[in-house]
Amino acid sequence: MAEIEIAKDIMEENDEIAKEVNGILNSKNIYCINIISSPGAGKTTLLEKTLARLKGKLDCAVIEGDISTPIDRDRLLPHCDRVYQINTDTFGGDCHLSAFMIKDALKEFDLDKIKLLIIENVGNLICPADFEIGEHSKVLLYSLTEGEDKPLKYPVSFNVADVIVVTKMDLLAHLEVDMAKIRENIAKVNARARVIFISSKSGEGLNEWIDYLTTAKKSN
Amino acid sequence: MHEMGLAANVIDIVLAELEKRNIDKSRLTAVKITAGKMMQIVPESLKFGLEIASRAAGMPKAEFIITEAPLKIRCGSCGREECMRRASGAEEFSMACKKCGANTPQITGGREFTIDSIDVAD
Repeated sequence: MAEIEIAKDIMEENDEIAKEVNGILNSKNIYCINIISSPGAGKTTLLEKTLARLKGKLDCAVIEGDISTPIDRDRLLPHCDRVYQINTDTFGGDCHLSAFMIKDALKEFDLDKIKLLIIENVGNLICPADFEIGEHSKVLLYSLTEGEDKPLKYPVSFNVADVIVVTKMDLLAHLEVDMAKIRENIAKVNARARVIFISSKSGEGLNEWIDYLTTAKKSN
Repeated sequence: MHEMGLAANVIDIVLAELEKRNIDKSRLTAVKITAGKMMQIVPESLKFGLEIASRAAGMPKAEFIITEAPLKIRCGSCGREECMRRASGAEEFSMACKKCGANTPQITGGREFTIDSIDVAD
């Protein structure tokens, strides 16, 4: 019997494609965010509001990731012409987007006409954190209804986020949520992320969110 | 549940490495893997996926040995290094420095996911 050293990174193939995607985006001067959250945290609702506000001001494109159905694409199309839906059930029902899917999806757009690419990952707080897809920033959405302990239960996803958006703030009056605890638990697992509190319904915090998207573009 | 897809990646890499070295795949007896805590991999699930995938790929004798690598952090303020066996929410879980209290952790380990070596029968 012989032992043979391999020393090979299993994520290497995905990471290489992610670098390639990032290079393509940089060459076209496109800023890209990867939005991660549990199912139902309000990703698509926030995007509806975001695209409506950015219309005519910043040229956006969206890649939607879901296991199945084009429902989210259809929700966003009234606000943006450039929306492409990936259904991972065509790749075995993956619980996350991989870099190769994004590389293929980029072919669907005229990249010279885009300044901001928003990728809505599959709703899942575990797997998407492990897969680089060529983005410049990871944005994690965390809804008020998920409870104060969510950051501690999913520390990896919270830790890799550059921006953490706490959603559904309009529900604060109806829930027994300790906001100080939410801030404290986020800081325990990620002290560097920018934290933005919003309500897509009432509009609270949306100016700050839009500000982030537009300035993130400028600083790139 | 991304272990099944990752298992398929591992098998593809192993097959390519065997081919590169002109070793018949049926000789493979073991694959040693390191999985960092930050990769959120359930070793039992990965092993289950690897066993199915390796049998399907014509490597029925292969055994998979998965070693978990801890989450390692270095305090950005005082430089203290800490090894955390868990990367999940124990109530006292915090990445803040236990010595100086600064909350400026840098992750230095726990994101690795590698095939370290393989064993082949003579």
